[in-house]
Amino acid sequence: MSGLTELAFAYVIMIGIIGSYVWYLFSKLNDIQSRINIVESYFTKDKSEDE
Amino acid sequence: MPNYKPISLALILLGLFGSSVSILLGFLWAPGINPDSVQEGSAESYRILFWHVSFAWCSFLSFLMLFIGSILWYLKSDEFGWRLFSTGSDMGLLFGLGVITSGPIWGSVAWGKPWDWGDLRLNSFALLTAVALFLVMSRKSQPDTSQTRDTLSIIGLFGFFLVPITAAATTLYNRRHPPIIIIEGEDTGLPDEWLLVLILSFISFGLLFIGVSILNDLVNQLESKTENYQRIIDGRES
Repeated sequence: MSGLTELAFAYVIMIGIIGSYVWYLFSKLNDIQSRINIVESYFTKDKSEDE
Repeated sequence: MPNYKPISLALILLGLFGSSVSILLGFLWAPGINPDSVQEGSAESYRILFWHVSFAWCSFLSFLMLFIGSILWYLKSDEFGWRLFSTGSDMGLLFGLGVITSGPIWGSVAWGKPWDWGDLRLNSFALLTAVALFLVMSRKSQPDTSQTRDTLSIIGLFGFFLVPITAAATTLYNRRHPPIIIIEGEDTGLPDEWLLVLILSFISFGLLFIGVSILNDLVNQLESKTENYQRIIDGRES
């Protein structure tokens, strides 16, 4: 053993931190975009009904 | 608003590819160090350098972004400044966490203990990450008003003053953390292979940093857009 286990553990943690945050951002972005699309279609529909 | 999502995705993928190559090169190509010159059983653990250092440099870039954002917001109430502040604090927390979790794992092998409470660099870096954590939590929990932004930008300015202290700590007060080894000196310097892998790692992390920052900013902007829509809907209903 020459610290390889600890080294691998440290790399896994760093990969995990980056990977999970990027995953979180993409899923959050998709979620917000779909919510915005729903609200915008509601506003568009509302506006056309007023006219 | 232009669609930055594919750009950020491309940068993130390029960054991840380059940083993965840097790990492979670090393990397979870069020469090992003399086991007699370090603590017994820790010769291989030095290969953590290829990511740990890039993580630390990216965290300093994040705090620079935070600093510029804090100044722009505090002096001019500039909306772009607040976007820089928000992204800088998120990135500072992300990369800071990477440094303070991987560092002690390496330290436990190389020093025989994970943390040294007397080492200036370790503790100032931990404080810096704690400032980023505080800023991120405050942004999420407090109402987004000018007063909140003013207060948080002052704390952001304070946080940045820890950066030069942390960066110079190993030169001025070297107790446990290794000194700056990239600059060639009497006791410092790196083999060419190590330097090349480290440069590749830093360029890759730079791309990753830009990609994640763009994505983070996009999420923050869309969040404030949903809040605006929410206000409009609330106003119609009342």
